[in-house]
Amino acid sequence: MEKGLLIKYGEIAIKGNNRRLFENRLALNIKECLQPMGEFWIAKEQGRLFVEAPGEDWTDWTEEAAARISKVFGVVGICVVDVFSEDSFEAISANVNRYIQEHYGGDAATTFKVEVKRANKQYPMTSMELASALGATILEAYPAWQVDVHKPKTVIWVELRGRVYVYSKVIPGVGGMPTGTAGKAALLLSGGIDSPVAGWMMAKRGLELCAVYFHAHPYTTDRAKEKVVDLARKLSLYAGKMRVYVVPFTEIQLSIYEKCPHEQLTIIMRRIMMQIAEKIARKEGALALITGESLGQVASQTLQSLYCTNEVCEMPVFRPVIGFDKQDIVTIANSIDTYETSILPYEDCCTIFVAKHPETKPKLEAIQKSESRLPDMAQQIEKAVDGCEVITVYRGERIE
Amino acid sequence: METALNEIYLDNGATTKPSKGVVAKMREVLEAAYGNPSSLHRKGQEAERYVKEARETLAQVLQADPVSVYFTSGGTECSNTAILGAASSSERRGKHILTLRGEHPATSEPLKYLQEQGWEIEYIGTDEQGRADLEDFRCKLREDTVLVTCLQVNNETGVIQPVQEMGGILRECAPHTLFHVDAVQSFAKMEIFPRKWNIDLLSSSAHKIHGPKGVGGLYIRRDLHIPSFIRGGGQERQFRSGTENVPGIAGFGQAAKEAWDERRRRQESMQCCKLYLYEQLRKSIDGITHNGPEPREGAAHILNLRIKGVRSEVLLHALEDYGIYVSSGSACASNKPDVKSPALGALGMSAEAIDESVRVSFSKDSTLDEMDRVVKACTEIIPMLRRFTPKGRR
Repeated sequence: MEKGLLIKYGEIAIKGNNRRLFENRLALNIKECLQPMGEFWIAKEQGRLFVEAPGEDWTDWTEEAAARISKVFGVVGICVVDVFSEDSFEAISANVNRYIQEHYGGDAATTFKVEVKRANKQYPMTSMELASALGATILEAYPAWQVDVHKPKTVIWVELRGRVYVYSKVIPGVGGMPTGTAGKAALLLSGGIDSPVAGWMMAKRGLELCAVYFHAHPYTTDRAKEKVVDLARKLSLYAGKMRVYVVPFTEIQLSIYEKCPHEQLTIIMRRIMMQIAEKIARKEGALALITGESLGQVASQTLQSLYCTNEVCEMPVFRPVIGFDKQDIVTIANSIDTYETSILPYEDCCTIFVAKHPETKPKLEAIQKSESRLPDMAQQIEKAVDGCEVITVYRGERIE
Repeated sequence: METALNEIYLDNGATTKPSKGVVAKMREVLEAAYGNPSSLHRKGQEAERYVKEARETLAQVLQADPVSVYFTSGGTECSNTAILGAASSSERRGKHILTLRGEHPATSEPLKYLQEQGWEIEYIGTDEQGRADLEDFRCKLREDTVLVTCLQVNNETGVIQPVQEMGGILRECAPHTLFHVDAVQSFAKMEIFPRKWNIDLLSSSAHKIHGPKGVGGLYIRRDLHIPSFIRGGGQERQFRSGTENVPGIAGFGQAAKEAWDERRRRQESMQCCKLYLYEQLRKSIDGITHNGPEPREGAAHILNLRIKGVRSEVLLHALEDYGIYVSSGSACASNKPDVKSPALGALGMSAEAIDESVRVSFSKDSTLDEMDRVVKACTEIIPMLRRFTPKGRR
């Protein structure tokens, strides 16, 4: 008997002609996430993937592998399965009973049913016949177990596909679509709580990411930059390899500060950030921007402010947390382990140059008029884009 | 990694660069004398000798008996042990403690803890520079005052407390009251003689005098018994268990010896740098004043400046581009003046003034040439920063 992992994927199984594309990418992503453990063998089997150990001397690998795979987007469930070749009814029945003994001890009372799937339609019994026959032997072996075909506490799955697979417990996966199947977007990553969550949510829909961070040395400490890189490292555990662009932003901020009304600082700054992010996105081959904006959370995230900010963008801007309360965002941040890093107390460039009473209902015309006082901005933006420091993160590490 | 050639390190109040002699000594221990001092064999004895030698050096600097010196993990452990230990051993006599405002957290936090446990913490009045008022001190001593604790040199402002006089007053008015001095910023730089000055407990740390981090020395008067908080194998004469940090202790001994032998030259050279820098900065840039004691009167290695219209944290990061390292003494998360800077808060300074204050702290290696370069950098940076003073998050 061997152990293996059966991987269930939801949404992509119902894709049409592109299904193969999604499956191949998912298999590749799983292979990649397991690479630090070794070269695993991944087979596609009728709407599932099956992972086997690279060699026969592998034991106890399923737990760690399942934990890694549960973070791969596109996976909805992972089952640790017992696999054996002998497919006579007696052999299956003996193995199923042994499986129950091993996983449930057999004593505790529970309700159950047996579900059978046959890929091998030549098998002498139908799925229904096999299920009820197996159920009968289980009832005999474990008197405390009772059949409930409607709401059983335990479902024993038996699948015949060349070999026989037995499993019952499903470890939930993260869901979503395989990373890299939806194209690429540029994430405006600030170091706060919201933007890593926004990036994670969009990566979950299959996007590859690159990140854009605005650094205002000496007004912000290099520790703030370090913090953003740490957040990107955490995101890369889910979203794969990504480049972080550190934009030198001080000169632009000072120009705005010097020439524009202070209550408009944040809006003008954000409009310029979007323009820079778009330029970086184009360089990266990305087709959208992602921000962590949440409606009404701060002055720059009122509808009027978002209207003004959005006006400079040509690409679609994804704001996946726009309708979330702070607590909802914090819950996700905790579950993807970015929260503790996000709350480190370094000021970022957004908080350091803010007016006492920033505009909450900016008028686009007024903002555009103020911006006309910045005639060199186009060159300054070019200069900032060209002057970016680029840091690559992959699998939780910074790489050269 | 070698120190960058053009680096000007002026954050010696935070920590210092280990001297060549200290590094050599520690290397010797790490490579050769790696035994455990508790081992009975020769290798153990060899390691023990390094510890003994260091203990004797510290004792010499303090003019004390080597058996009154205990090695710890650093200044904070020393002060915690001294304060909490003194409190618990004299609880029956009273629950009143005198201290100063603006103490280091290694003192103020244990005191806060005691206050929560029902102790009464009272503050000795000071003059406008933060120096203890001896008359007020005398008046506030009570029958049930069991402990007096203060810094000899304040780590932020460099103000020097009259601990010798305070010890004298205690001898005269309250012979049973224990006296703890946190000498982390002054040990082996300035004179402090606990036996002569009637000090019962004294904290010191290696890394402020070009020694290694992670090692401290606690002086406890010989006949004074305070409880041990770290129990185990019985090292440090049953008082502070745990295998001795032999390389650290040897490094501490070496650092203390070098510092003490050279103290006059070092003090003079640091004082010279400090006064020169202050004078040149004031000459070239408007709106620069000092916080705390007159530069001539405070500790030679600490200068606290207020630079009007410039946030210290921004200045600090701008200076780092010139390879110049200073301190803002602020935890940027907090907006409470007394948390950002306890000592400046105690002087009654506003949050804004504290935000504009930097601490420059010198070492034996500081030079006038470096001071000229600091002045030049400041004349370039400060006018630029003053044009843009973000007022958002005060």
